[in-house]
Amino acid sequence: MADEFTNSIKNILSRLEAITEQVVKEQGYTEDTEKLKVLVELTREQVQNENSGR
Amino acid sequence: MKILVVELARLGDIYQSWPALRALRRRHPDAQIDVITRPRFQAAFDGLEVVDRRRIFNTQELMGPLFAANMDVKASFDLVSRVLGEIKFEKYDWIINLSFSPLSSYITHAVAAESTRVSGYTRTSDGFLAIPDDLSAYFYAQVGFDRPNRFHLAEIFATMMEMDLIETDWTAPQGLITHSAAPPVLIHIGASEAKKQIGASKWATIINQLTKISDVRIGLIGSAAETENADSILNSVPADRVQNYVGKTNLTELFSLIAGAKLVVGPDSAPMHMASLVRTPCLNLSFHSVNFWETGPRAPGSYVLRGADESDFASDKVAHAIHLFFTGEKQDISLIPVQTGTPSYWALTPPDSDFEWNLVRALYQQADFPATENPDFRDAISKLSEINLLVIDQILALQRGVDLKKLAPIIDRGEEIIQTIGKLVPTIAPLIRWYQTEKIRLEPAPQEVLVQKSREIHELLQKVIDLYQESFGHQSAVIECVDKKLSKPSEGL
Repeated sequence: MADEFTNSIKNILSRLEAITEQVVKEQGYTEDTEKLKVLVELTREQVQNENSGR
Repeated sequence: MKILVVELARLGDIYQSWPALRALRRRHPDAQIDVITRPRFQAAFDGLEVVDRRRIFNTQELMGPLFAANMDVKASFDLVSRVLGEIKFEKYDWIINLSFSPLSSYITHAVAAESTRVSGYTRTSDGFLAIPDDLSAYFYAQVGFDRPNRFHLAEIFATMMEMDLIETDWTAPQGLITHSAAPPVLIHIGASEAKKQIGASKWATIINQLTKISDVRIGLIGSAAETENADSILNSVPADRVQNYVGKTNLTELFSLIAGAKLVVGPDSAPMHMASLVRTPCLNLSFHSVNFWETGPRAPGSYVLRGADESDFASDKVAHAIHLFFTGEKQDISLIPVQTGTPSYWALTPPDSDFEWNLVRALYQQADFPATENPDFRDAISKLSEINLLVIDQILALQRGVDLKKLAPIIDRGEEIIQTIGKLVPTIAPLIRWYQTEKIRLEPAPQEVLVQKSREIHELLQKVIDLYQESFGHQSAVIECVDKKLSKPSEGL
């Protein structure tokens, strides 16, 4: 169950990263790109757990 | 004035930020002070009277559409836009990011208005990490596992708010504490991370040893996730001596229990930080993977017992130490006491870390540079000088008009070697990290400005290198501060 969740998160993360990379390539770093980055980092945190990353 | 504090960390960090938030309120009595926090941890602000509003960053809600069958990125994107837009609309005058994480840096930049002053990690206009204030630069370079920092997180948070802590900043949550007949000893059997956790059988052995030498009553505390461990402990200890609160208290009730107890025993965890606020002494069983001087208990009379793993905590000795708390006799094992003032812990390991700490103090607090004849450090300084002068030569050539394409590979290789020197010689690492952080702090600018600023950083580095090269063989204990420009004292630390 935990593995399934982790795989699902990893899949979401790689798709989000690909989308963000594409948007940065096309638009540069904009407010919208930054929001995508927020989503990427939110997702990345879930791979471990919700933490500060400190 | 409107102030936003970004606090996306867990319970323990939030409790450690209470004194700083109270200090902030002392300085800005009429300000609106808001926090951003997560739903799971927002209860950690209950009883903190200085916060006006909690803004909730709801991870599950924001990510929900990503888990839909069609992975609806647009829906999640719209939710993020709405939440960040609402916060940005407030036009905060000052945003203080206490979270030191990539996520918090993007959020901080996204919600800052053009006129907002920012302390803590944020982003540049082109998306790179931005470290606008000296204290955050110090944090980035010198704080954390395997780093030389000796300041407690509570003081670091306060310094980010440009405040010194006073005794009354460490007080119980307002209006929440009820007088309970708490057992004198509370044992926190869990921890937020596996690396900090002590096993159920170890706790059971400690409790059994304690009940043999003392008649003190014991309570177990912990979250619902630790219920199974609590049951396992209770099956192995005298049931009439131990009261089980694990999974049965909310944070408010836990505060009351901790306030009523005489001693809290456990790993580095939220209950320990709650105890610091209600001034209940702790016996902190701390693993080497945690810097207790950064996050250890702060209530007067607290002690830290350090070990590589739980096998280092001999059960009879821990039980004996608990017993001595109540008899008032002198502790006879090597416990590390909390002290008043800053830093709050002086007995540190490894003992040879003094040099690195003094180097940090020279770099950041205008203290004298510590002298050394350590051959590894000497070699590292010599190599560093060679490489740094080479890089400075390339930068000068660049400023004379030589093509960047020709010089960039040499400069990049130089940076790689500088990094390698820092990895190979731990004593010089604080200097290398200071240098690297200052490079990261360069803001987006026209190339000629960036080149000039980069040159200034390399020249400052060279001044430190020259100082050491001149000092070798002179047998002095310290070297006078090289340049006032190098050290920007961090107030409060």
